Amino acid sequence: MATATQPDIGKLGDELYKHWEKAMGSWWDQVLESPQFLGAMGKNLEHAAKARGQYERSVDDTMERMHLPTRSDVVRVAKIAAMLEERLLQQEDLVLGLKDQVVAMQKEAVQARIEAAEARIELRETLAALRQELGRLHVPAPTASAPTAATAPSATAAERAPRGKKAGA
Amino acid sequence: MTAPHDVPAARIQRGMAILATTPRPPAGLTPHEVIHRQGRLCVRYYPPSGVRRQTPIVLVPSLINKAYILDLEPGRSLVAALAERGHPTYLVDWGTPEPENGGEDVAATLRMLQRSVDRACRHARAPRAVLFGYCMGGTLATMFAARFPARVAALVTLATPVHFAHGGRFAAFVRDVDTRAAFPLEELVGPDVMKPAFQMLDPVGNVSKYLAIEAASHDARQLARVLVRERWLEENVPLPGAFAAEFVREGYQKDGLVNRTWVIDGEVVDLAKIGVPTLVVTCDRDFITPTAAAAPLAALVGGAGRHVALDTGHIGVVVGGEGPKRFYPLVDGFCREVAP
Repeated sequence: MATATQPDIGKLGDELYKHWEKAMGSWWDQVLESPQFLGAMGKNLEHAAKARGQYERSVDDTMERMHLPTRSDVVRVAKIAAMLEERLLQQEDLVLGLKDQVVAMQKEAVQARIEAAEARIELRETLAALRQELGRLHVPAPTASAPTAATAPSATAAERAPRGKKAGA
Repeated sequence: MTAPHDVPAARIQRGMAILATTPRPPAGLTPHEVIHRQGRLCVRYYPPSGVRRQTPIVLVPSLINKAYILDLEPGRSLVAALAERGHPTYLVDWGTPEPENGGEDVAATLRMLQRSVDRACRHARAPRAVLFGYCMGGTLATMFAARFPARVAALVTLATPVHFAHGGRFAAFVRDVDTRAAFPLEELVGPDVMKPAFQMLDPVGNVSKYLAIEAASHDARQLARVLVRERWLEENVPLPGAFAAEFVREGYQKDGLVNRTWVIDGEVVDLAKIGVPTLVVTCDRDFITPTAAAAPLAALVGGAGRHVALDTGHIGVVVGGEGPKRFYPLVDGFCREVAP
């Protein structure tokens, strides 16, 4: 039945709960500082592990007596499968490593080809320059029938024209 | 008007009934492709949309829970948020260990992570990846960054224990445990052992959650949101005994990352070797990884370390309201800043 006092009961419950929550939290912190409690908890863990181990062994014994594969047998087979998988993955690691090396080598090879091509271009340019220089050196000495000073520069320009092209072409 | 039965005890009872009878919603729905498998482990690829960024992000969740916490539901999915922002996103799903995995220690786990990161980088055609680790996954990501720096462009850790001496209630809980006796090396540590341990970290929370369920029950969408989180909390996975023993002994008992005593494959894990930009995110209301256990990483790394504290809890930071509002943009912004 709803009355004016009921909301206060709800609020009181909430307040009590909050107090309980706070008190429990600080009490628990104290408990976790207690060496007796921690020692007992540690022992509890140890005994639980021991009991579990004994149980597993007894189940294994029973299965063995019935000539059935035990848990240890299954675990042993699973471990072998895991080892085989690890070996396969190691091979995969090696293949991936080799692939990386091949890619790196391919990169190096491409780089070497680029460098060789660049060197050939450079050589060709040097050769062209040398030829040009040589051509200039082979210009015949001026004679009586030689062109006048006014026409001489155009002859030089013809010589300087790119190879395969004639001046004025 | 409040009915007389609306006291917390009644609401808790109703919450219990709802939890017991309502089916759990599906999770991990973001479209993806599996690009690598090794036993139980797989690497999931979430293709980016929009302008594709060059450096992939590899997300490393904890080993003791399902990986779909990082892809819980539409709107609360870190992987989807990162992919939508153009990051090629990869999630390392550790899967569920089987009895044959009981002997896998931290070194074996790091080797699996190494291969996963390698495959993700190859798939993304990038030389290095941003590594993001959550909780125990963050500890593994940190160790990985120290051991194999060549594949790491940057490191982001969320609620990650590094300074285990300040590990709070969990550190107190395992301080005196004889790891050899409690965690048999060739066996699995089942959820039946770990779940009560985690429940003991927050005994009050185990009751309060029913109030939250009851409060959410009036809105179907809100209820689905709470229940999918409950589903994740219920679906604990076992931990290889060798891993659990080493993590507790070298981490929580010897504080091996800070004291430089944790040896993996004959080499000490030296956090100073992490030369990449590192973002350390902590949560102010985190009782699993207190700020004091996580924040020191920013100062311990050799590269530029940055610490950001968020006012939220260990799980809420990823799937709560703070996730889409602050945390996802924070990770996106950091990755844009430090990696092409």
